[in-house]
Amino acid sequence: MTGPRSQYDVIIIGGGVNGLAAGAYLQRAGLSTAIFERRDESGTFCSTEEVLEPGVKLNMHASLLMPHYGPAFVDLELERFGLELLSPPGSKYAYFYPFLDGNAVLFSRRSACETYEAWQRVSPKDAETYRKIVNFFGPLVPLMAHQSYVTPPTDESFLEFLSGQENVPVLPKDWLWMTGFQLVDALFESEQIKLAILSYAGTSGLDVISSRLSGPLAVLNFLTIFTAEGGYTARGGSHDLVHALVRCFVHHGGKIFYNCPVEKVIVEAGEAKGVVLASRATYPDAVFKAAKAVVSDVSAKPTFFNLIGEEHLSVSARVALKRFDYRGASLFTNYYVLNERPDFACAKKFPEANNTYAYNFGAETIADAERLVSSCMVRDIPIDPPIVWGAAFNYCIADRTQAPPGQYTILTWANVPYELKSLGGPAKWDELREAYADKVEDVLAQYLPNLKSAKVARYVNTPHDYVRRNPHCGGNMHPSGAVTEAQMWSWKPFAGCNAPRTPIDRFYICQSGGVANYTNLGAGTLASNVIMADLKRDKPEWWKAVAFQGAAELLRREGVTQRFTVD
Amino acid sequence: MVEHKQYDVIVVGAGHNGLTAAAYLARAGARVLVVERRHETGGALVTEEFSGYRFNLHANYMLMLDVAPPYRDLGLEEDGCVYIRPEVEAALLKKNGDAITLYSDLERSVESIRRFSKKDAERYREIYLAYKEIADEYLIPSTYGRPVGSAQLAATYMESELGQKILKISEMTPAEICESWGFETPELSALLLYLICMWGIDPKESNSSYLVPLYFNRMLNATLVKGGSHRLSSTLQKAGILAGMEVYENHEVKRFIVEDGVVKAVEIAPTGCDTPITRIDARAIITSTDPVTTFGEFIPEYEVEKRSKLCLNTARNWEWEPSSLFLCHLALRKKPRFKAEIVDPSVANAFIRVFGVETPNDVVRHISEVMDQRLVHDIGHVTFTTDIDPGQAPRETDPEGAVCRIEACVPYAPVAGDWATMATQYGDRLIATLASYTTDFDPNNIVRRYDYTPVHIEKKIPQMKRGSFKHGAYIMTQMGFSRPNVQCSSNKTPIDHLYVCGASTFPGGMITFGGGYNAAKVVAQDLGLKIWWSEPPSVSAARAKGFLL
Repeated sequence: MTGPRSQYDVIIIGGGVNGLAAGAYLQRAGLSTAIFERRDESGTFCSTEEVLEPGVKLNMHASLLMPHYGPAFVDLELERFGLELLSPPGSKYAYFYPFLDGNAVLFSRRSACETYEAWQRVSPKDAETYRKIVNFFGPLVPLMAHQSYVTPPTDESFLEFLSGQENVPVLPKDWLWMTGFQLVDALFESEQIKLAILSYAGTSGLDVISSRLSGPLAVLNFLTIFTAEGGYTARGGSHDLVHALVRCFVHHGGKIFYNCPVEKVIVEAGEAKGVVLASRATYPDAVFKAAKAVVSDVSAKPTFFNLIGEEHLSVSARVALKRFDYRGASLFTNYYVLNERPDFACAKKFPEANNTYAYNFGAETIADAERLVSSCMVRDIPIDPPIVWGAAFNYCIADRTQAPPGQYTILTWANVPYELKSLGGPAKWDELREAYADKVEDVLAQYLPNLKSAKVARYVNTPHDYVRRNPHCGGNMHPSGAVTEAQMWSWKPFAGCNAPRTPIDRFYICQSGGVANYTNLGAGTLASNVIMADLKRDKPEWWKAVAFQGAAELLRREGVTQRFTVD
Repeated sequence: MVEHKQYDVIVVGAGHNGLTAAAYLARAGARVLVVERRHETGGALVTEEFSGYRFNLHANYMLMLDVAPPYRDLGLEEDGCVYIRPEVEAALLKKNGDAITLYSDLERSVESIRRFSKKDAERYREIYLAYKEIADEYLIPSTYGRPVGSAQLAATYMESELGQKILKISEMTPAEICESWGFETPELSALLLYLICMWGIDPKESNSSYLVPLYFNRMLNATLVKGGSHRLSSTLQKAGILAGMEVYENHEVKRFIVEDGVVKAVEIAPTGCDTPITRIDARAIITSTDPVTTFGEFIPEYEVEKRSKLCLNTARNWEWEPSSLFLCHLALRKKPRFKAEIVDPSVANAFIRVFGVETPNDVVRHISEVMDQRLVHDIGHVTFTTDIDPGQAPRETDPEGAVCRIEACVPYAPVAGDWATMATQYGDRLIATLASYTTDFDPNNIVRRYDYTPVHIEKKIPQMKRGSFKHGAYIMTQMGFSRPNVQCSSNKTPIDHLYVCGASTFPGGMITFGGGYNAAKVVAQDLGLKIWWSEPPSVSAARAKGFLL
């Protein structure tokens, strides 16, 4: 068999969106880069498959695409490589939370002013509070956001951040030491507004909103940065983002090898030298050398325990990693194909809801939400009736190509525990699949009255089905692991790791570091910035975009100016 | 508003032929754009993941990958696309629990047949070697060159011993050829006839009989792409991208802009939508679409008529295949054991296990029924791709997980009803039949099931109308030099700057890469591009003998 060459400057383990983004940056900057992917496709969590009917594209995970939010969108010319981000034509709002009383809380995809206006219809007092918060933080938002793509979080930067938060006029004292629940309770009066905020902040994991530090930060993040997200899908489905990244990487000369699980990172004298492939790989047991860096896009536990090996870790790192937490974001997915445009009950009062890409629903009271969080944390029996706080999407109102003409696909993510402790373990999900999907359907039908009459087909994925696709993250939809006060900022994945650097020289992680992993490609962008700095290489001229640049550009094409404050 | 773009070459359709043409031309220095209506490139090379189980929804058995020039020219192996040739290629499962097995290694097959008949074993070797010679010297090379007109070809045949052998074969029907083998073991004849006819070749028609030695030889050398069929098209695509090829997915052609008999541009829009329209101009347009779409939909009738009444006629009278395929894909927690494994342990790992036929007449009768749009007998074959490539199941969570594919030749429009209502019931029938050949099939082990019917085929790939997976029937008027017609079989068309490369063009369907490979050369010559690749020696040798232009 004619094999590939075995020497590269950089080797990346895992071809998810962050591995691809890091690879594309480094390869384009002139470093010869190879990506070794365990699966037969790139982008495990950013895939689109026709598993139902031909022409019906189902996004198997990532659905709220935000590459335009970070610098990679511009730097890597992702549009030139075919990425076409789409939101519902003419839509003002990116997210809504409907209630059974016909109310809805909406969040703008472009302007804090529009969110303010929408909230005034629910609670004028809370709208005023929102205005004060965004007017204080809004001007700081772009710079703060950009820092997270280029500068790793450190203990020092945390202390500096803390000292700046002692006297924030618009927030309660000690707000960072509250949970997300406590913070919204302290700030807002309307239970509906509180639920809408928590539900969205909770899409990054229920553990987030019930934690201190990460909870209030998620709430604040949502209130201030959300307007940059914009509610986008990609033409043809989420996997289109992966196609653009792959094409960019390959076009610049990068090599991707599929079906190539890595068995070990070669560590000599505390320095990463290359990788050895698994015996089941396309190149069984083959050795590939990396002259300058090895990067892992694999989740923290398998990275350090399997690829590196405990012998290279300090005792404290080992203990922290043993306890590394993946709770809080196990999702149960219902997909539907409808033969009518989804028509929400709340649209009678809030017609814009029907032209909005993302939503959550199901918890009508804070007590409902608390029950949901505790059921997921206890890892036992899924809540009944289900609550959809993982997010839900209305794909085809944004992209007509994701279903045949006249049809619409939607998804709902109910939050459930993965482990099913007292039911006999996660494999039990195969038996519960259709029955639990029926329960979700009954809840959804209350908010979406035309669901049952317009339903053409349904496809269901349990958390166990996700683990079959990617066994590396313990049933969590975020391979980066939970974001709790115990694992965030500079102490994620463990204190002293200094992510994306690691205690192993020339070994980096672009997953499970301080930056949460979404399709903003932040972790991959950050890792490539750090590697360039460590190699003392000047960044090429094209490597210069700032966070939100792409987002502002997309809105500009619509004739809209992005606004982070309310005048 | 119409947006304008400009390329040297536009390729319509990112199936394996389109991608092949595009990659060769991009590497020759052309600015190439590939337009694809689906969200994925690859056409029939489609692999979808169901709960971690990878289903090759359409193409699975690679008959020509090991001999196709693009595999080497484009460095697909070096780029990580590898194939696996199974040791046990085929088995016929008998109702009584016995089985006959054939191997990719000739002598092991001979050994296996000897258990049934010493005479048949020796005869099999003779036939295998005779067909191998025809395949190696004529049929395989002639896939990768320009076809010779039928009159000239007939004259060429008469000039050589090999040609006369081909002529003799092409005058008989596959059923007659099967009879001429003279095997005394009916199961052996049945297995071979099944392997030859499973792609919709009518055993009672001599139209495609010249292909019998090719299918005989290739089915017994079939390979599987490691990681799923889609790996092959992805790697092809990577080869093009590295050379500067661009791909525009999720867009379909609305029309070709033809002026004075010259194609100037294509107009495209997002798939299923009328707007926004983008116009893309090019010096050459290569389409992998069928002639009905190309000459009947993309180009106004008067423009076609002006240049070629024949093409208009082809568009109006193109015949789709009378039979199609039904695939029941299963993700299983545990693979069942075949009863026949007790007698012949090789059955456990056979690539293609045929069931429901035990005599050649069973095959002939079944295909006749299918051609009459009837589904009477439960006849088909089953492959567990995970036997060959275990990585296609999620072994981390399901240690014994298996991907199963039950496949049957079926009518597109069964007289008993339509596929929308019949699919589940027919799939159930196939599963029950499979179960009857095993000792421990447990329906509770099914994690996912996907029934891929002829209607799914045409919905997924519109060039495969009526589930016609070779883009059109293999009948005399649509074969060889006449595919899609005598004006277009060498990839050029009567419309200047318009070329064809799909399965409806010579050499036809299946994953051969012939259409794309041949089109690349013609277009490169016309555009004055450097032909950077060299023709395989076997192709040059076949040309020297007059088998190719």
